[in-house]
Amino acid sequence: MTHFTFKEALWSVFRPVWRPLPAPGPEGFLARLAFALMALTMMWGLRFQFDSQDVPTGLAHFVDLTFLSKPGVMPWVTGIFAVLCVPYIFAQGLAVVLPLLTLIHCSVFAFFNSQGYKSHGNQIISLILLAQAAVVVFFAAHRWIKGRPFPLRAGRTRDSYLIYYSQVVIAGVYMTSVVSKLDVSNFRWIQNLPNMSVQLVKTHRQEFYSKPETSTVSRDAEVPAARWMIDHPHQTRLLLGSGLLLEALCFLVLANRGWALVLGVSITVMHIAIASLMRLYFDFNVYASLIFLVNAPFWIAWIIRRFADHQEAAAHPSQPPTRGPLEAPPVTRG
Amino acid sequence: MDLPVAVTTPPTAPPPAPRWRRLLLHPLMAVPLFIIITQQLGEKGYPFSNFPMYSNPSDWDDYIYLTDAQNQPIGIQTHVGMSSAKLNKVFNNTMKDFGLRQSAVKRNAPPEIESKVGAEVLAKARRWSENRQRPLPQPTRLHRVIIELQPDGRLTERTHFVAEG
Repeated sequence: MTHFTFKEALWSVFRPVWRPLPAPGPEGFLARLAFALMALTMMWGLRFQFDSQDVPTGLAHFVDLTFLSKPGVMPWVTGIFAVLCVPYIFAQGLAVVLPLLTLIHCSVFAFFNSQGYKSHGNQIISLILLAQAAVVVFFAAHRWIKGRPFPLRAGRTRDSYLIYYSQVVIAGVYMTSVVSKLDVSNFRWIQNLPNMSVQLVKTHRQEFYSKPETSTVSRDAEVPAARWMIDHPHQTRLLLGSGLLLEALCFLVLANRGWALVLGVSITVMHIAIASLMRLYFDFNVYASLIFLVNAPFWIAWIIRRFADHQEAAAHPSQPPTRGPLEAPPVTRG
Repeated sequence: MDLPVAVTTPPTAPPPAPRWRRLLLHPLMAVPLFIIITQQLGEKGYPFSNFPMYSNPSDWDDYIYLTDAQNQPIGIQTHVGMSSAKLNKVFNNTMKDFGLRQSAVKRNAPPEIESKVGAEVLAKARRWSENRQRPLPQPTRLHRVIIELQPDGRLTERTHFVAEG
């Protein structure tokens, strides 16, 4: 096995591929584990006070989902979801398990969003589940119709596709938001950005009135960031406009692990900044980004592998090292 | 004597698919497809959404809050089980049901229609709070605040009483 220089290793991480990458060893397992825990956390303890679906969306157009608000129903639904997460984590029966998980998640949050408001914090997780379900159903359908498994490219597994199409969803979510911003504002979004000071005051006031008894913001206090935006319109356009640029560049996460890492960290930082500035919290977007873009499961798997290599090298000092400093799995085109 | 020679045909690779077909079936094409679907479905097809939040920052916006009879603020999250922002979206959505769709109309909504909207939202909020065993006090007042960015750079907040119930 050849030695890799740092430059070569870096190139292997940033080489544009634009296709599913090999997902070696425990990466797929760790990604499924983290994602299942996140989806389950969203459902855990959820109880509905709603008894109607006045403004239906998604499945609520076709099914009366108000049964979800009946006493005792949600604990059962959450329990079934939790049980289904186990085979999902261990990649057993995915062609059945993933569509069921998707159906439950989409039903629960479609009902949640059918009350006259649209909450955009949950959709990314439902969409990732939907994309993963589509992948496994496609693979199963291919095997059933053509009588042979879907021909995977060299080194790829089903996990490669699950991770890739989860990244597609994350990229798509941010890029469609860019299209909406330009469309709704008639391409004047950046020009209108100093007006965001109004929304800043609004979100601060809303945080107070949600829980006045424990709120960390006061009722009528001036919001310094809003004042700064009014006084510095060009800097505001530059600062918030860079967020729009970041969202527009999200397709790069599909190029390779390197760009996914860079974009994933940037998106995480963007959401932390938005949370601190605007009091708007998109925690599940951050977690999804950490799992599928920053790709924490891959780096954890990589550290485990490197640690094993070091131990092996210590045990057999005469043998040359088998991996380079930053070696990623080969990204052959197959 | 010549030995029989096994005649084998050299393996031939299937002809590559046309370039346009390979481009169309490239995994990356899932992104534009996703954007087209989400833009077409808008907000009606959960889990899809075109994510239009803060897509047109305007020089005014509004929020609502609840108080008791002494005008002391009531925790919307605590009682109704949703953030103030969500209840505000319910209020704005109900405004649309009463024909107040345009931004300028909503900004200066006729008081009589606004109070009908407020009464409907208050009734919902009360029902939801009772379903969670955290009933709103009787009476509860709904107030609306219009925040405006004035041409001279001042941020002003106009508060007015909307409904009680």
